[in-house]
Amino acid sequence: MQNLDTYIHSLSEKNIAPEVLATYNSLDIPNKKMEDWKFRDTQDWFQGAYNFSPASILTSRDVKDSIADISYDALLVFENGLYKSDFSQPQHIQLEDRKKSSETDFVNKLEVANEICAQDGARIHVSNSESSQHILIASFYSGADTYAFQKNTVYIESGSQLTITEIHISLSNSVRVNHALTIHTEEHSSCEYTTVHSLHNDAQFIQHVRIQQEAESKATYATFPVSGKYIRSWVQVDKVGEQAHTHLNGLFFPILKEHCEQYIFVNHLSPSCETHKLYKGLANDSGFGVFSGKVYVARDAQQTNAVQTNKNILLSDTAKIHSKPQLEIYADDVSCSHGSTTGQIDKDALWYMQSRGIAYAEAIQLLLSGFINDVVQTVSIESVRERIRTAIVHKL
Amino acid sequence: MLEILNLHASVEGNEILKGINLSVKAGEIHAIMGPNGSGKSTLSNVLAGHNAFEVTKGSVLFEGKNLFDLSPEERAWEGIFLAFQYPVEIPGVSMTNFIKTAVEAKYKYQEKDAPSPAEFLKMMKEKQAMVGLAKSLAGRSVNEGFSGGEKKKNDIFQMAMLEPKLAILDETDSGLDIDALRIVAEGVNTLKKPDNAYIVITHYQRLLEYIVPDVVHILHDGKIVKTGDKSLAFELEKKGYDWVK
Repeated sequence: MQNLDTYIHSLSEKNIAPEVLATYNSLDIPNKKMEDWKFRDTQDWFQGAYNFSPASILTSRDVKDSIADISYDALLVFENGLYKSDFSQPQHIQLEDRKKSSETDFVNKLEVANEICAQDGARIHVSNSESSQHILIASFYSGADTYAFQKNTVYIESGSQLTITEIHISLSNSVRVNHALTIHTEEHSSCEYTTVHSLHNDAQFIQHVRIQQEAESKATYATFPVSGKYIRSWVQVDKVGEQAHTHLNGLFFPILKEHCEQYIFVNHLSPSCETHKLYKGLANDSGFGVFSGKVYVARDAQQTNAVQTNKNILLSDTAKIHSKPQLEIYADDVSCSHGSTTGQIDKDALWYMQSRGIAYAEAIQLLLSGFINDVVQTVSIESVRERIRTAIVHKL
Repeated sequence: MLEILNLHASVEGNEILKGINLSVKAGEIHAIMGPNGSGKSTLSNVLAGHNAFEVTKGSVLFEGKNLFDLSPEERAWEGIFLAFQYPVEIPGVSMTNFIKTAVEAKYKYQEKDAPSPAEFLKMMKEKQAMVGLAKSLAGRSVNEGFSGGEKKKNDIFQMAMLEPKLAILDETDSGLDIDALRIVAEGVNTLKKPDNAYIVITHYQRLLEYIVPDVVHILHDGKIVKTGDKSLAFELEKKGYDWVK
C-alpha cells in the first residue's frame, strides 16, 4: 500500500517521458478552488494509501454473469486496467501496442497520472470496415483498496465505422479508477462509444475522454453512470475538420450519497460542424449531480450548428444538481442554443395519470421512464439500451 | 348514481364551493353552466379527487360509496372520468403505454381479465376512429404536439377506452372549432347508454345543441342558483349571466 506520488516516483524512469513527469510535478492537485473541481477535492486520490498492483481474481463466471445480456461481435476483457486474453474474444479486431507519449497537453494532474501509470487498455484501430461491428469492452476492477489505471484508444480510419460499448464493473467496494479514452475519427468515418458504469456504492471513478474529429466524420459518445459513490466524466471534443458531427448524450442518477459530475467541452475549430448535446439528470435522497457543458466556436468556424440541452428532475428535498451551460462564440454566422431546466416531477402530469386510473407509484415510474427515454433511445445497440433502462428503472 | 349534499370546498383557504346539492341518476345528462369563477372547474376537480382542493363540509356518494374515501385512481376504477379543460402533455410517455396501463389497472381492480394485445389494439383503432383521431396514436407521446382539437378528441378517446359510469366533461368545448365540436359531441352521444351518466360543464350554450341535457343547472358563486330543463340554457344565452346574479 502506498500513495500515488510515491508509486509514480517508484516507477522506473525509463518508462516515463521526462516531459510528462515534469508536467505531472508542475501541476497542482485538483481542488475546490479550481472552477471545474469546486464540488470535490481530490487530495485523497493522491495522498491515500492504495494497492497499485492487486492480484487477479477475475473468473470466467464473473465475466459471464456481467455481460450475459449483451450482444457483441468482439469482446475485450480487462481487470484493473490489464488485458485478460483468456476471457477475451478479439476476433479480427486490430489491437495496437501501447505507445509511450511525450504529449504534455493535459487538463489536470489526474490525466497526467493516467498517462504515466496506465500500462494497458483497449487500443483499437479500424480500417476498411464499412459495416459497423459492436465491440464490447468489459472493464473489471477488483481487490481491496485497488487503484487502477486504464487507457483506451480508438482510431477509426477514413470511411470506416465502429460501435463500442464499455461497461465498467467493480467486483469489490473500495476500488478507485483513473480511466482515459481517446477517439480519433478520420474523414468520413463514424464511431459510437457508450460507457456504462455499474460500480459498488463505495467505488470511485474519474475519466478523461478526448475526441478528435476530422472532416465529415461522425462521433457519438454517451455516458450512463448507473451506480458508484463518485463518478466524474470529463469530455473534450475537437473538431479539426469541416462538417464533423457530434452527438453527446448522458444520463446520471445519483441516489443516497452518490456524486456524479459531467464536464463536456466541444471546440468547433472548423466550419459547418454540428453538435447535439443531451444530458438528463435525476437525483434522489442526498444524491449530488453536476452538469457543466461548454460550446466553443472559433472565429473561423462559421455555420456551426450546436444544440445543448440539460434537463434535471429532483426527487427529494436534499438532492442537488448544479447545471452550468456555457457558450463562447467568436464566429458571427452560427446557430447555437442551450437550455437548462431543473425542477420537480410534473404534478399536473401525475394528476392527469391518476385521474385515468394509473396509481400514483406507477404514474411516477411511467413519467420518469418517459423522462429518460429519449437519452436511452440514442444508444443503437438494443441489448445495451435494455441493460441501461433496466438498471435505471431499478433505481426509481 | 351521484348524490352531492351541501358540498363546501376551498383552495388555498378560499372557499369556492359554498353548498352544492346535486343528484345525478343513471341515464341522465346534466349540464352545469356558470360564469367564470363560479366554481365549475372546482366542482369537477373535487369530484375527480384533485388534492389541491380541500373539502370542508358536505358529502358525496357515488354508487353508495363515500367518494372522499377513495384516491383519484380508485375513483377512476370505480367509474368516474374527468375530461380535462386543458389536457396535460406528458413528453416521453407513449399514448399506447399510457392508455394500456390505465385500462389494465381498471380491469385488475374489477378482478377481470384484461383484453389481449390483439383485442386491445382493435379496441384502440375503433375508438380512435369514433372520435375522429385521424393520425395514428402509436409512437406519439401523450398530448405532446397535439393541436387543441386533437387533445380534446384524445380525452374523449380515453373516455371511450375506459367506459366510465359517470363522465364529467370540463369545458370540453373550449378551444374547439365547430367541426371538432360536432365530432366530439357525436362521440359522447355514441357512448351514452342507459346505465351511464354525464355532467357537462360549459360556459356557453353551443355545446348543448349537440349534447342535449336532461337537466341544466346554473352555478353562481359556489352555489346552484337555478335548475331547469334544456330551455334554461337558451334563456341564459339570451339574457346573459347577469340575469341569475
